[in-house]
Amino acid sequence: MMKDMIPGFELIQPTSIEGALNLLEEYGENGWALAGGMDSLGWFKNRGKRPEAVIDLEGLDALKGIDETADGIEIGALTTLTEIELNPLIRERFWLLAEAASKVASPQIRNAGTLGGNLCQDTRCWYYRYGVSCYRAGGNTCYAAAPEALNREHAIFGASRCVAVSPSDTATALVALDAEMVVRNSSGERVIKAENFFMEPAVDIMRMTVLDPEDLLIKVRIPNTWTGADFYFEKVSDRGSWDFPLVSVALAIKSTGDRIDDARIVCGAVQCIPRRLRNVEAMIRGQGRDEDTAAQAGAMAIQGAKVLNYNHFKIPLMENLVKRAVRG
Amino acid sequence: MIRKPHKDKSDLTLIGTPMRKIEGLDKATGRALFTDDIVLPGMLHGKILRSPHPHARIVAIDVSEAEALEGVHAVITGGDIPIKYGIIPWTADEYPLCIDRVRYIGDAVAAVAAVDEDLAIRALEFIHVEYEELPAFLDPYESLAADGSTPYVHEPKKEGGNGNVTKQVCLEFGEVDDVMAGSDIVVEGEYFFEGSTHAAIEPHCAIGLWDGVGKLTVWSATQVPHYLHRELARVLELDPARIRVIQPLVGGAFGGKSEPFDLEFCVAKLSMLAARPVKILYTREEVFYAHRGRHPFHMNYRMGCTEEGKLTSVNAEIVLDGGAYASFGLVTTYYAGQLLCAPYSMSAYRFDSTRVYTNKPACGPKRGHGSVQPRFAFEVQIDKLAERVDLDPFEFRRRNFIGSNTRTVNQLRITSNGFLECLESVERASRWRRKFRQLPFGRGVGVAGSTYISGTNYPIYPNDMPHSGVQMQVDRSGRVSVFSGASEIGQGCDSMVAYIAAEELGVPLEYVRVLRGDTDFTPVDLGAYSSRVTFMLGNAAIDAATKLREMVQQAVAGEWKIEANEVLLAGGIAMWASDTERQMPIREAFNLAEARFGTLGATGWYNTPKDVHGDYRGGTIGASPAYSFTAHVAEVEVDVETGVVEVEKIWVAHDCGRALNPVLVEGQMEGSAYMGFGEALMEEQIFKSPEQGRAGLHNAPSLLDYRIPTSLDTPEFESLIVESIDPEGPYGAKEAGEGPLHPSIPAIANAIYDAIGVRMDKLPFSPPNMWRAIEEAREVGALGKPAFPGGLPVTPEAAPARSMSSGS
Repeated sequence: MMKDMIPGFELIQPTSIEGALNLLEEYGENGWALAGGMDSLGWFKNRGKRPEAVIDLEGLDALKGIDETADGIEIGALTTLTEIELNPLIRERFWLLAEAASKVASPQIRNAGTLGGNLCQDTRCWYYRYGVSCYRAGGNTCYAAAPEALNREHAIFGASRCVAVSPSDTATALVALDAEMVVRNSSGERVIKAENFFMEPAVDIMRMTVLDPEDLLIKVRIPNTWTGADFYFEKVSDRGSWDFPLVSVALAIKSTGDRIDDARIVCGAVQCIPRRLRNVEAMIRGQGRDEDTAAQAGAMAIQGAKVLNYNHFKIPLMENLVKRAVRG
Repeated sequence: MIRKPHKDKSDLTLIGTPMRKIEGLDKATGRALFTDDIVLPGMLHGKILRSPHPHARIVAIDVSEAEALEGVHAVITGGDIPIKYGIIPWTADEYPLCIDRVRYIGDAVAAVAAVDEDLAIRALEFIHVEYEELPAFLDPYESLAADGSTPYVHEPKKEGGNGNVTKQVCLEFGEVDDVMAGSDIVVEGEYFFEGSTHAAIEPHCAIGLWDGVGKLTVWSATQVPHYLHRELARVLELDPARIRVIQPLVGGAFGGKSEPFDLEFCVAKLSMLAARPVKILYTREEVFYAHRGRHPFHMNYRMGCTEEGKLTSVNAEIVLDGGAYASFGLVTTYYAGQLLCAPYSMSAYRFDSTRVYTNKPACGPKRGHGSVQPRFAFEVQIDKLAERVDLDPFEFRRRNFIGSNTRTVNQLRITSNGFLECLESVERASRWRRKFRQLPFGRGVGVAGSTYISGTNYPIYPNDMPHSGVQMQVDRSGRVSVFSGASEIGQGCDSMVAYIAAEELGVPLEYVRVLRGDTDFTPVDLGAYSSRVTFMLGNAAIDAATKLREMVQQAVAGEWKIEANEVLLAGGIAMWASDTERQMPIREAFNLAEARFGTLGATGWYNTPKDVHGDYRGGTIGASPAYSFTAHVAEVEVDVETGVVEVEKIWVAHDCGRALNPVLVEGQMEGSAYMGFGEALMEEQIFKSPEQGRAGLHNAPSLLDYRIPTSLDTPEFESLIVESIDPEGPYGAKEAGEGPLHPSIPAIANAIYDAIGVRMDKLPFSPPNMWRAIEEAREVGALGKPAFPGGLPVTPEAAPARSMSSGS
């Protein structure tokens, strides 16, 4: 009991990326990188996580801002969601991301919350969040998959012991835009495709991304691949203004005349990672962008979905959202 | 009880005009003091240890390690305060700290006071409690079916009885079954109203200060300082004359602070032991455990009518899921049936309502106490009946209007009644006749009506004393001081008495000080509950102000050698009615009065009519000096591919008797409609069930996971004030704080039906629940626009208006 109060911790505020990386390496599992704090403070407040040291990234100005590069743009991981939502360059070229960012939580949270934080946030499974000893927390059971469990929000795809889902709105957009994540630690830098950035429970059940404790997401690169494409984003949630998705869809699509040349379709909150619908993408390539194709896309999207006790609604919801997205 | 004839609108100068709240600027600028803002010298911080089990015996508690911590000044357990408390004198069933048994996850077990909050929290970890877990009752029907093979939530009051039943009420008026059998149409429905919580911005907070020589002061964010005063005296076994309760400004309550709570007794006891002031502030999680929110209701309604659409017989069976303690449950159980007999007449009515205990946080009163849930079912039933007899639901409601100056089927006295005007206002403003059944598939409108009490004629503990008192004092400077014991919880009662004092004594509003919320210097007012304050405190204030005004008038009349009733007091001056050029500043008038009558002060009070209810057991419950009436129209858009319901607009018409300050009345109307809208669309109190390991644990004790609408989700509201000028209300006023909530939910449900032909008989109308209902309708081919009554697409009245609109 007695949650809802933040226990004490050591706060360290590095002023350089190198400094931050050294601290992350030094503290390892006992350290916690703090960006906007929108996910972190909830964890601390509920006493679900009690890091020894909190490494506040606020002073790392190099991680803030949006830059145009030769073949696209780069967004610093500490750029706020509001900045992304309002940035003219992003709105012009990658409206999909601006739209997804504008649907995250509430205006106040978007003002403080960062892109990096939105991508790296932990899952919302409320059993896990409460601090029960489930698989994801290192235990040996999943409460949310129990016969009578409350699992309206949980996965219909890719469950592997854990049935939690990816809560991020921007993740779906970035996967659809073929973005890349630039990750650094004290021994070097690596670039990871957005699609490969997120972690399936079958691989590592205790992480939501490929990041190790000493890693820091530095920036996100979006190539110009999808500039000029048509985009569609829709998120359905219980509360319109401030909520995690029940199901969301992000689509980037290029057509010549009536023919679809290529597309990326990604659904959020149906799996532990943003679910890219490769089979649908392949199927609609070369088809007309019409009601028929949309219906087929919707039907194909939900193939293989497996329901839990209370999340049946996610199947038709996902089908309808994919249909709408393809129909345009 | 009318003491003075009411002024006409033309005689009123301030009343009826838009005015600021007197404390509004302080609140907006952060100067206003709430309980947690108060810091006393040497103050300790308290924390309460809470049960991790939904139902368990306390085998042993060891506090010695916690007591030994440096900086911990006192630790208490149930044995330190071994007397039960409860808001209803007959159902006191809670100990400030549990003694031998815990009954829900969050039940209080021990409390500590330490030099700071962190230490107090840490100290809780050093308290060792040994529990013996007991099977828990989480489902109200399991509670009802219990046979005593496992311990009941509470011991049965009678040997062999079911201890899980808090209260059962079955009342019948007229021959329900016979009339039902003779009805042309009977509609039956099962309804479920999900419980909800108040979600006031300010968490509960209390400070105790024991002065060491026998006087206890308790500051608390409460709606009921008087009842708290009484319970502190009784439970702590102190002389009530040595207890002072102070109610600072309260940051919202909505019924969630209308009874004593564990923290108030704990701060008092801890302060007595530690000899230092002690503060306890609930965390948001604790607010969810303290709860007292709306009961989940399982309802079966059977209602009959004639072919002409005349309501005949109503039969309701209701099971209330009460949670672990009685709270106001006795009243809730009655209200669930008693308050449904207006604004429609019916020849026969029966309700059978049973409140059961479950091992969950206790339910209690929330804005629209007891009648919001059945009103949802009732108004959806009305919509179904109207459809069956092929009538516009407005017409159906008009045909069954109960009228004014009448009695309900259960013998409650109705005086003023503006319900027809409410219906007409929302019908016109919403352009109903052009929309109902005529908007495209997916869009719809719905209507609902309701009634609510303006206070109750009987106090919570039986006594013949006034329900509300006010003391007023006039100063030589022109200042008027009002001493008010009423509970300002944001609704504006401090402002209301200031408006009345200024109106009656002719001073500018800035000349009035309201000294409030302190049992040491204010007369008793029973508290901010049951929408009683404007009606009762307003009448008390008029009473006091009138006495003073008459003295001032006499003194001025003596000076001018005219009749006293020719002296007018307004706008800071006294003047002669026959020649308004003849004036003196109000200060001079007050000085003349003081010279003639001595120091100027007066008390005023209000007591309720006692002979206006039915002569049957429970007949006094629901009896009110006046009833308010409301009608809503909601317009919605339903996305059948996602299950998302958008409420576009709600038109709210409310008969508040007279709007003393129309701005505050509109605020109450919008706030009420907002709250109902939230309950309709998203609010859910979910508890884990036994299969999930943590049975009875609140799933979402935070304002992130427990969803209430933000400003961005809130629909547009249009408030339409209806003034029926009640014969007994202050200047004709009735309540406005709770009534306007009721129709929100059924109006939205009825609008969803108009939009897509799907009945939502269970709350909330969230996307998953909507989707399930939509799929069921799709399977049976019921998804679609319902038929227009009478088969006509457009009513004759609507036709010209429609062509005009298409031309513009």
